[in-house]
Amino acid sequence: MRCPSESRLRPITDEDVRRLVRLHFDPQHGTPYWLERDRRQGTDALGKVHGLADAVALIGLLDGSDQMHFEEAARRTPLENFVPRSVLAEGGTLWAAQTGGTTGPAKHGTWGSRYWDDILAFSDEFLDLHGVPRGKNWLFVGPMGPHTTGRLVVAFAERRGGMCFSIDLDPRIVKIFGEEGMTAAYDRYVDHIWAQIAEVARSQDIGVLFCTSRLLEMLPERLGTEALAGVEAIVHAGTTLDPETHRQLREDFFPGVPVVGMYGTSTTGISWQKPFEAEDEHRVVYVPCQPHVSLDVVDGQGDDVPFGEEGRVRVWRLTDDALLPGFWERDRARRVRPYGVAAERYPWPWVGDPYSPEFTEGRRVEGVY
Amino acid sequence: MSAPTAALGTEVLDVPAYDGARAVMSHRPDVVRDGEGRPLARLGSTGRLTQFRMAEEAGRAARRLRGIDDADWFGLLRRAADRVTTKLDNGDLDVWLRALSAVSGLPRRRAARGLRTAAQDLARMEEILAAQAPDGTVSAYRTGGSGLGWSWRPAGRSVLVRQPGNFPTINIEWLQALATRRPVLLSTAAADPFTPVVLTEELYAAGLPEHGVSVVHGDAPALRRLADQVLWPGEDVPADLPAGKVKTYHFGRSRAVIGDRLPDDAWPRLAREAFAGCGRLCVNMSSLVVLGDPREAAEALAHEFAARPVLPLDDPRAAVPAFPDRAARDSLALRIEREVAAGAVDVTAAATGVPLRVELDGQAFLRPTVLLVDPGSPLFGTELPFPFTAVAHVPRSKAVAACAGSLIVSVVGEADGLVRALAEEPGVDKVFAGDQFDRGYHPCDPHEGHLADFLFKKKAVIPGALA
Repeated sequence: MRCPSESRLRPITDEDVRRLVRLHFDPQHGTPYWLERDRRQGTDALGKVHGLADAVALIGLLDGSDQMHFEEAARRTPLENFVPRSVLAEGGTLWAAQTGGTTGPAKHGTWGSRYWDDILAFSDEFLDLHGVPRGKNWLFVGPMGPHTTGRLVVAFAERRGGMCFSIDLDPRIVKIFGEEGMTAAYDRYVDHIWAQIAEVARSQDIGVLFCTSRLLEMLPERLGTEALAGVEAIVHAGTTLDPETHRQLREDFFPGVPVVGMYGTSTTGISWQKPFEAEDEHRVVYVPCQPHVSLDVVDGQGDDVPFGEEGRVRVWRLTDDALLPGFWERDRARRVRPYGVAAERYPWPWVGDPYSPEFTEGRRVEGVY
Repeated sequence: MSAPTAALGTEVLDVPAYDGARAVMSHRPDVVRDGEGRPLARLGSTGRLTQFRMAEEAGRAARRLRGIDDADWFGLLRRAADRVTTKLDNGDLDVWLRALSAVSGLPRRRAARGLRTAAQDLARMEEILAAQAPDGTVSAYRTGGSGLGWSWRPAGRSVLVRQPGNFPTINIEWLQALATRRPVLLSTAAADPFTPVVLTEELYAAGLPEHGVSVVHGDAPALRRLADQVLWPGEDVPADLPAGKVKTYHFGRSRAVIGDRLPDDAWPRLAREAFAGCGRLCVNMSSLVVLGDPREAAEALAHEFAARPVLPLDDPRAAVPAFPDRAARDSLALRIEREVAAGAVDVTAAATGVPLRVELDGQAFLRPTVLLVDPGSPLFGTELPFPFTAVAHVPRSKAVAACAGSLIVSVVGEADGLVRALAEEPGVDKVFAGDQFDRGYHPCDPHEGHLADFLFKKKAVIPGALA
């Protein structure tokens, strides 16, 4: 298949793993948190991890107290604990990211300049594959501030020759409204978001809409079907669209307009929806950004589930500025064997229909995020 | 009938949502389980975009429904009712009734009877609606009425009906709304997603125009926003519903006043009122206001309750519902036990020798209960979802005040002047006395007012004949 932007996407190799282990576990210049854990657990990653299989066996986070230790450290200790001293010494840009904070106090992470550049190239590649036009203004409706999505989307728009209008969305206050039963405040906040969207839609020339999935589903009932008639592409993130909603968006509400999903978190990175094909049956399937990020779909023991089956998402982030060895996400997803036109270009396992089981209807935070 | 359309090893019903006549399942359906956690049914779920389309199409369908000739329209409703009745007779709905019984805790035969009654009500909509029309004709719903100084027109196009799951007969609420030719957006209850789907499928099979009814399982936030009017059960109305847009229904709390010189058959008839719909109806007598000796009254009623024991749900004689949610049962039991600890008397405990909490066939029940209480008890006037009646002495001078906030007040025996005083009390909706004291629910009676008075409004349309 055509690969217009020629990103550095390729499968993770054992050499990638060895290089990252040398970087993060170097006794002098490595990453304080991982070195301390290595000592605490007696792992000797530097001496024993020679490839991906060793990494999975020896340094992967264990679900439970091990991962909890990491998460609490990511919440409570300086971010420099998670960056190799050598990377800090180089002095490149580090974006201090925070998670949404919808499951507890926010966790902190970094996006280094090299990773950032590669993510933008990766994103351009997929936006082009989906037919998202260049030279158009974007409207971003989602979390700005400390959340990486906002900064990323501004970069997407500007890199592709447009301006990015934005409507901020604070998932943390929405969480408070939900947990404290502040229904009226929640409803007022949602009205406030839509009023701002309506103003921008009325006055500006918007070619690409980037929206959380939940807000995207509310768009016709809130603005009608004509308010964003000039939109030439839609990108969504957050809770995955169910196939019926995906189909309706493509066929009934925005016929001929690409509808593209992005999946990820502020600390782990992003994955893009594979190019849309009929055999997807409108299920949303994502291609992880290898060699930087691998999304495993595993059973309770951490073993890959067979292709086609559902399991828990486990993230490996292997970048210079941050190591995330097998982080257990709350999300569940289907493990997908690559297929269709993109299989050859992206031959590593994909993930389909990810969702967060605890974000039930009773949790109103899901209402916008 | 589209279901049962699929099975998962054991018989697991597919219960679709309906986008108009189109059945909607989903790739990750909600699973309905029985009290033991076994899957019983999969519910089709509808996203907000589907709900948006349902609301749009319902608005368009209003004109189509109003364009149908009266004879054709009510004939269609009767055909749908006949189809339901025939399927009940043939056992074609047994699997649905089993699921309904397991999810709701209703005895199976009672559930079937409830569905049959809903179908019978559907078949007599012509009579029910005529009783509500300003000129006594069903054509008024289509034409705006004749011989009036004003025109009687729909107060909106679509109407969202949030359906409670207490007993199948309550489906009459949305069936009435539909019969007035208002397209219905239906949101089902967790305890009974089945009955609305059975009725909807038969309505479409009988020729209901597209988008006359759409069905969403569970909450439907987009429909709350988009429907022109809303019928909401109970009194906890969501904050996002403006007051003028919503009518509450089915909040219940019915009482009986026990006067002097009771009819010989008063107590069996009162017990029947308490057990109607397995004690889960808004017309169940939840409190007894006794002008004389409350203990004597409580014991007489408890004697009748004792003749209706807890039985397995598949026993044809069963009239007592189970609680699939054991924690809900225990929570209710605790409320009663606290009252007993504070001095109330569980009269049925002595009359039956059966404990309040009953376990039978792996299911949790509450033994039908007559509780002798002080009139200040929080349970006096409270409706509980099983046969339960709180009995208290109230002096004649305070009887009307004690009945405020009632749907029905039944005056049993002689209670001089009380019927008129109750009829004048704004907090009392219906008053039945004399030989009609146990009239209960009759679909032609005003019941929380007439539904048509909410769904239609008077308009000045001049000259009306041309409109």
